[in-house]
Amino acid sequence: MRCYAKIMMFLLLSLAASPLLPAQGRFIEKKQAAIWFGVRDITPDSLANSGDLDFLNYLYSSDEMAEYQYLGLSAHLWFRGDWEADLKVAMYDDFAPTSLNLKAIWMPMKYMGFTAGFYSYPQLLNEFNMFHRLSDEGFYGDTDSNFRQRHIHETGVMAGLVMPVNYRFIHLTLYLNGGISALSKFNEKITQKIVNGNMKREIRYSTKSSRALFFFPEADLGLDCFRIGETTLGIRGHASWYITRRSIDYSRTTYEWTYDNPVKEVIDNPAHRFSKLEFDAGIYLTW
Amino acid sequence: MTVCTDSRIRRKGSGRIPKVTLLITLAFILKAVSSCVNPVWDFDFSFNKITVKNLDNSGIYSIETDRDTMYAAAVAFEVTLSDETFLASAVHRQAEAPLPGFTSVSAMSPEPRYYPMHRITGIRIVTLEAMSPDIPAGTDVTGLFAAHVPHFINLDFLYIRADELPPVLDLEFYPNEPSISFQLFCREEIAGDKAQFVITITLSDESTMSATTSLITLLGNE
Repeated sequence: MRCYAKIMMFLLLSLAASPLLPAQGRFIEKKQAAIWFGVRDITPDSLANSGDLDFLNYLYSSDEMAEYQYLGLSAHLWFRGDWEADLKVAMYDDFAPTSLNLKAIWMPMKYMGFTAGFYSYPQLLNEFNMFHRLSDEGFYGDTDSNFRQRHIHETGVMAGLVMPVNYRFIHLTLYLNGGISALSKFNEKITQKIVNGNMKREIRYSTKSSRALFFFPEADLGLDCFRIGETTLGIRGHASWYITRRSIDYSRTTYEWTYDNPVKEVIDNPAHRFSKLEFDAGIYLTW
Repeated sequence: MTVCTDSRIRRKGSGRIPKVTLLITLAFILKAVSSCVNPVWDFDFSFNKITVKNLDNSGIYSIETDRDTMYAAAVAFEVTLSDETFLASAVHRQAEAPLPGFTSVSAMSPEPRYYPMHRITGIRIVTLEAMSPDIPAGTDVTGLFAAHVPHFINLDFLYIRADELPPVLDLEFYPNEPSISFQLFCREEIAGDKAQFVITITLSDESTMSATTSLITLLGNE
Protein backbone atom coordinates (compact mmCIF):
# COMPACT_ATOMS: atom_id res chain seq x y z
CA MET A 1 0.00 0.00 0.00
CA ARG A 2 2.78 2.45 0.93
CA CYS A 3 4.57 1.69 -2.30
CA TYR A 4 1.51 2.59 -4.37
CA ALA A 5 0.98 5.66 -2.26
CA LYS A 6 4.54 6.81 -2.87
CA ILE A 7 4.10 6.30 -6.59
CA MET A 8 0.92 8.36 -6.44
CA MET A 9 2.71 11.08 -4.52
CA PHE A 10 5.46 11.14 -7.13
CA LEU A 11 2.83 11.46 -9.84
CA LEU A 12 1.16 14.29 -7.97
CA LEU A 13 4.42 16.17 -7.61
CA SER A 14 5.16 15.56 -11.26
CA LEU A 15 1.79 16.99 -12.18
CA ALA A 16 2.38 19.96 -9.94
CA ALA A 17 5.62 20.61 -11.78
CA SER A 18 4.05 20.23 -15.18
CA PRO A 19 3.43 23.95 -15.83
CA LEU A 20 7.00 23.93 -16.97
CA LEU A 21 5.95 21.63 -19.77
CA PRO A 22 3.90 22.66 -22.78
CA ALA A 23 0.19 21.88 -22.56
CA GLN A 24 0.73 18.75 -24.67
CA GLY A 25 -1.55 19.88 -27.44
CA ARG A 26 -4.11 20.77 -24.82
CA PHE A 27 -4.74 17.15 -23.92
CA ILE A 28 -4.83 18.53 -20.40
CA GLU A 29 -6.83 21.71 -20.63
CA LYS A 30 -6.54 22.85 -17.04
CA LYS A 31 -4.65 21.75 -13.95
CA GLN A 32 -4.92 22.37 -10.26
CA ALA A 33 -2.48 21.50 -7.49
CA ALA A 34 -3.28 21.99 -3.82
CA ILE A 35 -1.85 21.52 -0.37
CA TRP A 36 -4.03 21.27 2.70
CA PHE A 37 -4.21 20.32 6.33
CA GLY A 38 -7.08 18.47 7.92
CA VAL A 39 -8.55 16.59 10.83
CA ARG A 40 -10.35 13.29 10.85
CA ASP A 41 -12.83 12.09 13.42
CA ILE A 42 -13.66 8.41 13.59
CA THR A 43 -16.73 7.35 15.52
CA PRO A 44 -17.14 3.63 16.00
CA ASP A 45 -19.98 1.83 17.70
CA SER A 46 -18.73 0.16 20.82
CA LEU A 47 -20.59 -3.05 21.57
CA ALA A 48 -20.73 -4.91 24.87
CA ASN A 49 -17.96 -7.44 25.33
CA SER A 50 -18.92 -11.00 24.63
CA GLY A 51 -16.75 -14.03 25.26
CA ASP A 52 -14.70 -13.22 22.15
CA LEU A 53 -12.40 -10.34 21.45
CA ASP A 54 -14.05 -7.82 19.13
CA PHE A 55 -11.26 -5.75 17.61
CA LEU A 56 -13.64 -3.06 16.40
CA ASN A 57 -14.36 -2.16 20.02
CA TYR A 58 -10.78 -0.89 20.11
CA LEU A 59 -10.86 1.28 17.01
CA TYR A 60 -9.24 4.48 18.13
CA SER A 61 -11.25 7.66 18.26
CA SER A 62 -10.46 10.82 20.14
CA ASP A 63 -12.43 13.98 20.74
CA GLU A 64 -9.26 16.02 20.24
CA MET A 65 -8.66 14.28 16.89
CA ALA A 66 -4.97 14.57 17.71
CA GLU A 67 -4.00 11.21 16.25
CA TYR A 68 -5.81 11.74 13.00
CA GLN A 69 -4.49 15.10 11.77
CA TYR A 70 -3.14 14.94 8.28
CA LEU A 71 -1.31 16.87 5.62
CA GLY A 72 -2.44 16.40 2.06
CA LEU A 73 -1.53 17.10 -1.53
CA SER A 74 -3.88 16.93 -4.43
CA ALA A 75 -4.18 17.47 -8.14
CA HIS A 76 -7.21 17.94 -10.32
CA LEU A 77 -6.87 17.65 -14.06
CA TRP A 78 -9.35 18.70 -16.71
CA PHE A 79 -8.74 16.67 -19.86
CA ARG A 80 -9.85 17.45 -23.36
CA GLY A 81 -13.43 16.30 -23.76
CA ASP A 82 -15.55 15.56 -20.70
CA TRP A 83 -12.99 13.78 -18.55
CA GLU A 84 -11.35 14.86 -15.31
CA ALA A 85 -9.16 13.23 -12.71
CA ASP A 86 -9.01 14.05 -9.03
CA LEU A 87 -6.07 12.68 -7.04
CA LYS A 88 -5.63 13.22 -3.31
CA VAL A 89 -2.85 11.89 -1.08
CA ALA A 90 -2.65 12.55 2.66
CA MET A 91 -0.35 11.51 5.46
CA TYR A 92 -0.32 11.46 9.24
CA ASP A 93 2.63 12.72 11.28
CA ASP A 94 4.67 9.72 10.17
CA PHE A 95 4.69 11.29 6.66
CA ALA A 96 3.74 7.99 5.11
CA PRO A 97 1.36 8.83 2.27
CA THR A 98 -1.21 6.21 3.14
CA SER A 99 -4.50 8.04 2.61
CA LEU A 100 -5.56 7.93 -1.02
CA ASN A 101 -8.60 9.23 -2.84
CA LEU A 102 -8.29 8.78 -6.58
CA LYS A 103 -11.17 9.44 -8.94
CA ALA A 104 -11.84 9.52 -12.64
CA ILE A 105 -14.70 11.85 -13.49
CA TRP A 106 -16.85 11.88 -16.61
CA MET A 107 -18.94 14.99 -17.13
CA PRO A 108 -21.47 14.39 -19.92
CA MET A 109 -23.64 17.21 -18.51
CA LYS A 110 -22.72 20.62 -17.24
CA TYR A 111 -24.04 20.13 -13.73
CA MET A 112 -23.78 16.39 -13.27
CA GLY A 113 -21.28 13.65 -13.97
CA PHE A 114 -20.14 10.24 -12.87
CA THR A 115 -17.12 9.16 -10.87
CA ALA A 116 -15.26 5.94 -10.29
CA GLY A 117 -12.23 5.53 -8.13
CA PHE A 118 -10.19 4.06 -5.34
CA TYR A 119 -10.19 5.03 -1.70
CA SER A 120 -7.96 4.04 1.21
CA TYR A 121 -7.11 5.40 4.63
CA PRO A 122 -5.47 4.02 7.76
CA GLN A 123 -6.91 3.98 11.25
CA LEU A 124 -5.65 2.79 14.58
CA LEU A 125 -6.52 -0.17 16.74
CA ASN A 126 -5.29 0.54 20.25
CA GLU A 127 -4.92 -1.67 23.32
CA PHE A 128 -7.14 -4.50 22.15
CA ASN A 129 -5.29 -6.65 24.69
CA MET A 130 -7.38 -4.90 27.36
CA PHE A 131 -10.13 -7.34 26.48
CA HIS A 132 -8.04 -10.20 27.84
CA ARG A 133 -6.72 -8.21 30.77
CA LEU A 134 -10.25 -7.45 31.89
CA SER A 135 -12.07 -10.64 31.03
CA ASP A 136 -9.62 -13.45 31.77
CA GLU A 137 -9.80 -13.58 35.52
CA GLY A 138 -7.09 -15.56 37.25
CA PHE A 139 -4.67 -14.89 34.40
CA TYR A 140 -2.10 -12.27 33.67
CA GLY A 141 -4.22 -11.27 30.67
CA ASP A 142 -1.33 -10.24 28.46
CA THR A 143 2.25 -10.78 29.53
CA ASP A 144 3.43 -8.36 26.85
CA SER A 145 3.64 -5.02 28.62
CA ASN A 146 4.16 -3.00 25.44
CA PHE A 147 1.48 -0.58 24.29
CA ARG A 148 -0.50 -2.45 21.66
CA GLN A 149 -1.27 -0.44 18.56
CA ARG A 150 -1.60 -1.24 14.91
CA HIS A 151 -2.71 0.50 11.76
CA ILE A 152 -5.48 -1.09 9.77
CA HIS A 153 -6.29 0.13 6.29
CA GLU A 154 -9.77 0.59 4.99
CA THR A 155 -9.46 0.13 1.22
CA GLY A 156 -12.20 0.16 -1.35
CA VAL A 157 -13.41 0.92 -4.84
CA MET A 158 -16.21 3.38 -5.37
CA ALA A 159 -18.45 4.97 -7.94
CA GLY A 160 -20.99 7.75 -7.79
CA LEU A 161 -22.29 11.08 -8.96
CA VAL A 162 -20.57 14.42 -9.12
CA MET A 163 -22.32 17.78 -9.20
CA PRO A 164 -20.12 20.82 -9.87
CA VAL A 165 -21.36 24.37 -9.48
CA ASN A 166 -19.20 27.25 -10.65
CA TYR A 167 -20.24 30.84 -10.13
CA ARG A 168 -17.67 33.55 -10.87
CA PHE A 169 -14.84 32.87 -8.35
CA ILE A 170 -16.72 30.20 -6.38
CA HIS A 171 -16.34 26.52 -7.26
CA LEU A 172 -18.41 24.00 -5.37
CA THR A 173 -18.35 20.31 -6.19
CA LEU A 174 -20.44 17.66 -4.49
CA TYR A 175 -19.62 13.98 -4.79
CA LEU A 176 -21.94 11.17 -3.81
CA ASN A 177 -19.71 8.09 -3.70
CA GLY A 178 -20.54 4.57 -2.67
CA GLY A 179 -18.63 1.36 -2.95
CA ILE A 180 -17.27 -1.74 -1.37
CA SER A 181 -14.27 -1.80 0.93
CA ALA A 182 -12.26 -4.21 3.02
CA LEU A 183 -10.16 -3.88 6.14
CA SER A 184 -6.60 -5.05 5.91
CA LYS A 185 -5.98 -8.45 7.46
CA PHE A 186 -3.59 -8.86 10.37
CA ASN A 187 -2.27 -11.35 12.90
CA GLU A 188 -2.01 -10.77 16.62
CA LYS A 189 -0.78 -12.82 19.54
CA ILE A 190 -1.73 -12.68 23.21
CA THR A 191 0.37 -14.53 25.77
CA GLN A 192 -1.04 -15.32 29.18
CA LYS A 193 -0.01 -16.94 32.41
CA ILE A 194 -2.17 -18.04 35.28
CA VAL A 195 -1.68 -16.22 38.58
CA ASN A 196 0.05 -18.36 41.23
CA GLY A 197 0.39 -21.23 38.81
CA ASN A 198 2.56 -22.63 36.05
CA MET A 199 -0.03 -22.81 33.30
CA LYS A 200 0.65 -20.63 30.24
CA ARG A 201 -1.56 -19.94 27.27
CA GLU A 202 -0.96 -18.37 23.88
CA ILE A 203 -3.81 -17.08 21.74
CA ARG A 204 -3.19 -16.28 18.09
CA TYR A 205 -5.63 -14.26 16.03
CA SER A 206 -5.71 -14.20 12.28
CA THR A 207 -8.35 -11.86 10.91
CA LYS A 208 -10.28 -12.35 7.71
CA SER A 209 -10.85 -9.84 4.99
CA SER A 210 -13.91 -7.94 6.10
CA ARG A 211 -15.86 -6.60 3.14
CA ALA A 212 -18.62 -4.05 3.53
CA LEU A 213 -20.53 -1.47 1.55
CA PHE A 214 -19.82 2.16 2.28
CA PHE A 215 -21.34 5.54 1.52
CA PHE A 216 -18.97 8.43 1.09
CA PRO A 217 -20.29 11.91 0.21
CA GLU A 218 -17.77 14.72 -0.25
CA ALA A 219 -17.90 18.45 -0.81
CA ASP A 220 -15.10 20.55 -2.33
CA LEU A 221 -15.23 24.32 -2.12
CA GLY A 222 -12.72 26.53 -3.90
CA LEU A 223 -12.51 30.32 -3.90
CA ASP A 224 -10.30 32.01 -6.48
CA CYS A 225 -8.35 34.80 -4.78
CA PHE A 226 -5.68 36.14 -7.13
CA ARG A 227 -4.92 35.79 -10.77
CA ILE A 228 -1.42 36.28 -12.13
CA GLY A 229 -1.32 35.71 -15.85
CA GLU A 230 -2.76 32.29 -16.53
CA THR A 231 -2.39 31.16 -12.93
CA THR A 232 -5.01 31.49 -10.22
CA LEU A 233 -4.31 31.21 -6.52
CA GLY A 234 -7.20 30.24 -4.31
CA ILE A 235 -8.20 28.76 -1.00
CA ARG A 236 -10.00 25.49 -0.69
CA GLY A 237 -11.98 23.52 1.81
CA HIS A 238 -13.09 19.94 1.72
CA ALA A 239 -15.45 17.95 3.90
CA SER A 240 -16.39 14.30 3.70
CA TRP A 241 -18.32 11.71 5.61
CA TYR A 242 -17.69 8.00 5.38
CA ILE A 243 -20.02 5.45 6.84
CA THR A 244 -19.96 1.69 6.77
CA ARG A 245 -21.09 -1.26 8.82
CA ARG A 246 -18.74 -4.15 9.25
CA SER A 247 -17.33 -6.75 11.59
CA ILE A 248 -13.85 -8.16 12.04
CA ASP A 249 -14.09 -11.93 11.93
CA TYR A 250 -11.09 -14.10 12.62
CA SER A 251 -9.74 -17.53 13.31
CA ARG A 252 -8.39 -18.05 16.80
CA THR A 253 -5.83 -20.68 17.75
CA THR A 254 -5.27 -21.36 21.42
CA TYR A 255 -2.29 -23.24 22.81
CA GLU A 256 -2.02 -24.27 26.44
CA TRP A 257 1.22 -25.29 28.17
CA THR A 258 2.95 -26.38 24.94
CA TYR A 259 2.53 -25.89 21.21
CA ASP A 260 0.96 -29.35 20.94
CA ASN A 261 -2.76 -29.84 20.38
CA PRO A 262 -3.94 -26.33 19.48
CA VAL A 263 -7.64 -25.53 19.65
CA LYS A 264 -8.80 -23.74 16.49
CA GLU A 265 -12.01 -21.75 16.29
CA VAL A 266 -13.61 -19.45 13.75
CA ILE A 267 -15.24 -16.43 15.33
CA ASP A 268 -17.87 -14.27 13.63
CA ASN A 269 -18.31 -10.99 15.44
CA PRO A 270 -21.32 -8.68 15.26
CA ALA A 271 -21.23 -5.84 12.76
CA HIS A 272 -20.37 -2.34 13.97
CA ARG A 273 -21.44 0.88 12.37
CA PHE A 274 -18.57 3.31 12.16
CA SER A 275 -18.28 6.66 10.53
CA LYS A 276 -15.54 9.07 9.67
CA LEU A 277 -15.82 12.81 9.30
CA GLU A 278 -13.07 14.88 7.70
CA PHE A 279 -12.45 18.59 7.30
CA ASP A 280 -9.45 20.06 5.59
CA ALA A 281 -8.44 23.42 4.21
CA GLY A 282 -5.57 24.73 2.15
CA ILE A 283 -4.53 26.63 -0.91
CA TYR A 284 -4.51 25.81 -4.59
CA LEU A 285 -3.03 26.93 -7.82
CA THR A 286 -4.94 26.56 -11.06
CA TRP A 287 -3.43 27.10 -14.48
CA MET B 1 85.51 11.12 -15.48
CA THR B 2 86.20 10.42 -11.83
CA VAL B 3 83.06 12.21 -10.79
CA CYS B 4 81.09 10.08 -13.25
CA THR B 5 82.48 6.77 -11.87
CA ASP B 6 81.76 7.81 -8.25
CA SER B 7 78.20 8.69 -9.03
CA ARG B 8 77.72 5.27 -10.77
CA ILE B 9 79.10 3.55 -7.67
CA ARG B 10 76.77 5.63 -5.46
CA ARG B 11 73.82 4.78 -7.70
CA LYS B 12 74.71 1.07 -7.53
CA GLY B 13 74.99 1.23 -3.68
CA SER B 14 71.81 3.22 -3.24
CA GLY B 15 69.94 0.78 -5.56
CA ARG B 16 70.70 -2.25 -3.37
CA ILE B 17 69.38 -0.73 -0.16
CA PRO B 18 65.76 -0.29 -1.35
CA LYS B 19 65.78 -3.78 -2.89
CA VAL B 20 66.98 -5.36 0.36
CA THR B 21 64.49 -3.28 2.33
CA LEU B 22 61.72 -4.35 -0.04
CA LEU B 23 62.66 -8.03 0.30
CA ILE B 24 62.72 -7.81 4.11
CA THR B 25 59.38 -5.99 4.10
CA LEU B 26 57.83 -8.61 1.82
CA ALA B 27 59.10 -11.42 4.03
CA PHE B 28 57.72 -9.66 7.09
CA ILE B 29 54.32 -9.13 5.45
CA LEU B 30 54.19 -12.80 4.42
CA LYS B 31 54.97 -13.87 7.97
CA ALA B 32 52.50 -11.40 9.43
CA VAL B 33 49.73 -12.54 7.08
CA SER B 34 50.37 -16.18 7.82
CA SER B 35 50.21 -15.37 11.53
CA CYS B 36 46.55 -14.43 11.27
CA VAL B 37 44.80 -17.54 12.46
CA ASN B 38 41.29 -18.78 12.77
CA PRO B 39 40.93 -18.66 16.55
CA VAL B 40 40.33 -21.96 18.25
CA TRP B 41 39.21 -21.90 21.83
CA ASP B 42 37.65 -25.29 22.29
CA PHE B 43 37.57 -27.42 25.42
CA ASP B 44 36.36 -30.86 26.38
CA PHE B 45 34.36 -31.27 29.56
CA SER B 46 32.14 -33.76 31.36
CA PHE B 47 28.78 -33.26 33.00
CA ASN B 48 29.47 -34.41 36.53
CA LYS B 49 27.47 -32.05 38.70
CA ILE B 50 23.74 -31.47 38.96
CA THR B 51 22.17 -28.79 41.13
CA VAL B 52 18.52 -27.95 41.63
CA LYS B 53 17.06 -24.68 42.89
CA ASN B 54 13.53 -23.66 43.71
CA LEU B 55 11.68 -21.23 41.47
CA ASP B 56 8.97 -18.80 42.46
CA ASN B 57 6.60 -18.92 39.50
CA SER B 58 3.63 -17.18 41.06
CA GLY B 59 4.16 -14.05 38.94
CA ILE B 60 4.54 -13.58 35.19
CA TYR B 61 8.17 -14.59 35.20
CA SER B 62 9.85 -17.25 37.31
CA ILE B 63 12.62 -16.19 39.67
CA GLU B 64 14.99 -18.18 41.87
CA THR B 65 14.03 -18.38 45.50
CA ASP B 66 15.55 -19.80 48.66
CA ARG B 67 12.14 -20.40 50.20
CA ASP B 68 10.79 -23.93 50.38
CA THR B 69 7.20 -22.81 49.98
CA MET B 70 5.35 -22.86 46.67
CA TYR B 71 1.78 -22.64 45.43
CA ALA B 72 0.39 -26.09 44.72
CA ALA B 73 -0.12 -25.15 41.06
CA ALA B 74 3.26 -23.41 40.73
CA VAL B 75 5.80 -26.07 41.70
CA ALA B 76 8.89 -25.27 39.66
CA PHE B 77 12.63 -25.88 39.74
CA GLU B 78 15.74 -24.88 37.88
CA VAL B 79 18.26 -27.62 37.20
CA THR B 80 21.86 -26.93 36.21
CA LEU B 81 24.22 -29.49 34.73
CA SER B 82 27.89 -28.58 34.80
CA ASP B 83 31.48 -29.77 35.16
CA GLU B 84 32.64 -28.98 38.67
CA THR B 85 36.24 -29.99 37.97
CA PHE B 86 36.63 -27.89 34.88
CA LEU B 87 39.39 -25.31 34.85
CA ALA B 88 39.53 -22.58 32.30
CA SER B 89 43.24 -23.18 31.83
CA ALA B 90 42.65 -26.61 30.31
CA VAL B 91 44.52 -27.59 27.20
CA HIS B 92 43.20 -26.38 23.86
CA ARG B 93 41.23 -28.92 21.94
CA GLN B 94 43.14 -28.01 18.80
CA ALA B 95 46.52 -26.38 18.78
CA GLU B 96 47.80 -24.24 15.93
CA ALA B 97 51.43 -24.67 14.90
CA PRO B 98 53.20 -21.62 16.32
CA LEU B 99 55.30 -19.37 14.12
CA PRO B 100 58.67 -18.57 15.65
CA GLY B 101 59.00 -14.92 16.48
CA PHE B 102 55.35 -14.12 15.83
CA THR B 103 52.33 -14.17 18.07
CA SER B 104 49.14 -15.49 16.47
CA VAL B 105 46.50 -12.84 16.04
CA SER B 106 42.86 -12.90 15.10
CA ALA B 107 40.31 -10.24 14.23
CA MET B 108 38.01 -11.12 17.13
CA SER B 109 38.34 -12.45 20.62
CA PRO B 110 37.34 -16.08 20.38
CA GLU B 111 34.33 -17.34 22.26
CA PRO B 112 35.13 -20.54 24.08
CA ARG B 113 33.24 -23.62 23.02
CA TYR B 114 32.82 -26.52 25.40
CA TYR B 115 32.44 -29.99 23.94
CA PRO B 116 30.75 -32.58 26.18
CA MET B 117 32.52 -35.91 26.39
CA HIS B 118 29.20 -37.60 27.15
CA ARG B 119 25.93 -36.37 25.70
CA ILE B 120 22.62 -35.95 27.54
CA THR B 121 20.24 -38.75 26.56
CA GLY B 122 17.47 -38.88 29.14
CA ILE B 123 15.64 -37.26 32.02
CA ARG B 124 13.45 -38.83 34.67
CA ILE B 125 11.51 -37.23 37.48
CA VAL B 126 10.19 -39.29 40.38
CA THR B 127 8.01 -37.92 43.15
CA LEU B 128 9.00 -38.72 46.72
CA GLU B 129 5.62 -37.57 48.07
CA ALA B 130 2.15 -38.59 47.02
CA MET B 131 0.85 -35.96 44.60
CA SER B 132 -2.73 -37.24 44.70
CA PRO B 133 -4.47 -40.51 45.53
CA ASP B 134 -3.68 -41.66 41.98
CA ILE B 135 -0.04 -40.58 42.07
CA PRO B 136 1.63 -42.17 45.09
CA ALA B 137 5.21 -41.58 46.19
CA GLY B 138 7.74 -43.29 43.95
CA THR B 139 5.79 -42.66 40.71
CA ASP B 140 7.64 -41.55 37.60
CA VAL B 141 6.03 -38.16 36.94
CA THR B 142 8.23 -36.98 34.06
CA GLY B 143 5.16 -36.66 31.86
CA LEU B 144 3.54 -34.31 34.37
CA PHE B 145 6.28 -31.72 33.92
CA ALA B 146 6.76 -29.07 31.28
CA ALA B 147 10.13 -27.50 30.66
CA HIS B 148 11.72 -24.31 29.52
CA VAL B 149 15.32 -23.82 28.50
CA PRO B 150 16.19 -20.19 29.08
CA HIS B 151 18.65 -17.97 27.25
CA PHE B 152 19.94 -19.42 24.05
CA ILE B 153 17.87 -22.38 22.99
CA ASN B 154 14.16 -21.86 23.33
CA LEU B 155 12.72 -18.41 22.76
CA ASP B 156 9.06 -19.44 22.55
CA PHE B 157 6.63 -18.28 25.20
CA LEU B 158 5.16 -21.67 26.02
CA TYR B 159 6.90 -24.71 27.47
CA ILE B 160 8.11 -27.90 25.90
CA ARG B 161 7.28 -31.32 27.27
CA ALA B 162 9.83 -32.71 29.74
CA ASP B 163 10.38 -35.73 27.50
CA GLU B 164 11.44 -33.34 24.72
CA LEU B 165 14.25 -31.99 26.89
CA PRO B 166 17.12 -34.40 26.04
CA PRO B 167 17.36 -33.52 22.35
CA VAL B 168 17.00 -29.84 23.21
CA LEU B 169 19.70 -29.97 25.90
CA ASP B 170 22.03 -32.18 23.92
CA LEU B 171 24.29 -29.88 21.94
CA GLU B 172 27.45 -30.59 20.06
CA PHE B 173 29.10 -27.85 22.08
CA TYR B 174 28.03 -25.33 24.72
CA PRO B 175 29.09 -21.73 24.17
CA ASN B 176 30.65 -19.60 26.90
CA GLU B 177 30.50 -22.05 29.81
CA PRO B 178 30.55 -25.79 30.40
CA SER B 179 27.06 -25.94 31.80
CA ILE B 180 23.41 -25.80 30.87
CA SER B 181 20.33 -24.92 32.87
CA PHE B 182 16.71 -25.74 32.35
CA GLN B 183 13.50 -25.18 34.24
CA LEU B 184 10.87 -27.72 35.17
CA PHE B 185 7.24 -26.82 35.84
CA CYS B 186 4.74 -29.23 37.29
CA ARG B 187 1.53 -29.29 35.23
CA GLU B 188 -0.56 -30.70 38.05
CA GLU B 189 -2.00 -28.84 40.97
CA ILE B 190 -0.63 -31.08 43.72
CA ALA B 191 -3.29 -32.26 46.13
CA GLY B 192 -1.01 -32.89 49.12
CA ASP B 193 0.70 -30.35 51.34
CA LYS B 194 4.27 -31.48 50.65
CA ALA B 195 6.21 -32.16 47.46
CA GLN B 196 9.66 -33.49 46.74
CA PHE B 197 11.18 -34.93 43.59
CA VAL B 198 14.28 -36.75 42.42
CA ILE B 199 15.54 -35.59 39.05
CA THR B 200 17.81 -38.00 37.20
CA ILE B 201 19.79 -37.22 34.07
CA THR B 202 21.17 -40.03 31.92
CA LEU B 203 24.28 -39.51 29.80
CA SER B 204 25.43 -41.29 26.66
CA ASP B 205 27.85 -43.50 28.64
CA GLU B 206 24.83 -44.81 30.60
CA SER B 207 25.97 -42.96 33.71
CA THR B 208 23.36 -41.01 35.66
CA MET B 209 23.32 -37.92 37.83
CA SER B 210 20.58 -37.30 40.34
CA ALA B 211 19.48 -34.39 42.46
CA THR B 212 16.75 -34.28 45.07
CA THR B 213 14.72 -31.13 45.47
CA SER B 214 14.16 -29.69 48.89
CA LEU B 215 10.99 -30.71 50.66
CA ILE B 216 8.46 -28.16 49.44
CA THR B 217 5.57 -26.95 51.58
CA LEU B 218 2.57 -26.32 49.35
CA LEU B 219 0.09 -23.47 49.59
CA GLY B 220 -3.42 -23.45 48.26
CA ASN B 221 -4.44 -20.82 45.72
CA GLU B 222 -6.99 -18.96 47.86
